[in-house]
Amino acid sequence: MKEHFLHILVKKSLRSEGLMDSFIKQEKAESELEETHASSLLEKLKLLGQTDVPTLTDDTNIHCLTIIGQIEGHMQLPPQNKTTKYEHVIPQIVAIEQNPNIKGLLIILNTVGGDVEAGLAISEMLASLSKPTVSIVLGGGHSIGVPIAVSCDYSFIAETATMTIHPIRLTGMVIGVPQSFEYLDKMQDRVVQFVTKHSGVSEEDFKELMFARGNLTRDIGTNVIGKEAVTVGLMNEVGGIGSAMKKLNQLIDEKEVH
Amino acid sequence: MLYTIIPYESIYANQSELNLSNPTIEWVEHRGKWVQIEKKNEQKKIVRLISTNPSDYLANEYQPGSLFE
Repeated sequence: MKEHFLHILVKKSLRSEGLMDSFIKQEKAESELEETHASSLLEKLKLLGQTDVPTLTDDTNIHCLTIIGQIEGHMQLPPQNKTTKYEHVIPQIVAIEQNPNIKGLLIILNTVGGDVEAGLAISEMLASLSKPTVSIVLGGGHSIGVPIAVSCDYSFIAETATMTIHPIRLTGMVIGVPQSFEYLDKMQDRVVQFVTKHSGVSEEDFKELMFARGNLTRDIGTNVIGKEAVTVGLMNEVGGIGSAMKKLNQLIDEKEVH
Repeated sequence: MLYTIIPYESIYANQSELNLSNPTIEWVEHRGKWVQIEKKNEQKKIVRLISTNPSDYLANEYQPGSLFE
């Protein structure tokens, strides 16, 4: 009986010793982990001067498409241009349409324009997307950025953001035959038709903005800023990310009810 | 045809003046995302990420400046 008791006691102390051992080990590992964490943090700070940001879960139901710089289509632009490439954007929109986990799409624009065909292609893709879309123009949404901005279900423009509406032009090229001018005119008409169809601006008003003189230093056209874009009927509302997200969530909810 | 506010001469500016020491930059597809990487001395550094999933931009492995793979 006594022997048995002693045996248990020894076993107990051994176990606690083992526990102690593992506790020490754990503590050691933890301090090591902290050290490596600190060094990786330091590395990151060295690399970019910025640190970790909180992570979202993988299943975000709102995706975001940023369109920045030049919109690049048929022609590859020289590397000094920051570009948004057609072959990157179009498959992303297809993937968004197909993925049932994605409920809505936010388009963030800060573009100087670019290829007409590529810009109109992106606009048509967004306009025909079956999921709710909301766009925000931050900084600028110029030239071919205008049809992209208005292609969404609802469009916001930041108070300081601008949109330049001007005619399509060929710089440094002489129009040799009247047919070239007609071709140019038709191309411009496609932009005008798209914008007037997808926004509140009338064709007359839009063309007036497009051919206005005295507003731009080097060109004919108009530069509308924030509220002005809403007043002329091009955009829906002045706002930023908060209002855009709220609107998008509202559109998603409305769609789910129906 | 370009429809942009940037003058053509700026878009097609003389390249030899602009990037004399351009490190090799290329686009690669990685787990369904487009990643632009800069190759320099056998090291691949992330320059730009293209994805519509906002959480990808928060992932540590895709932070610009970090090493690729």
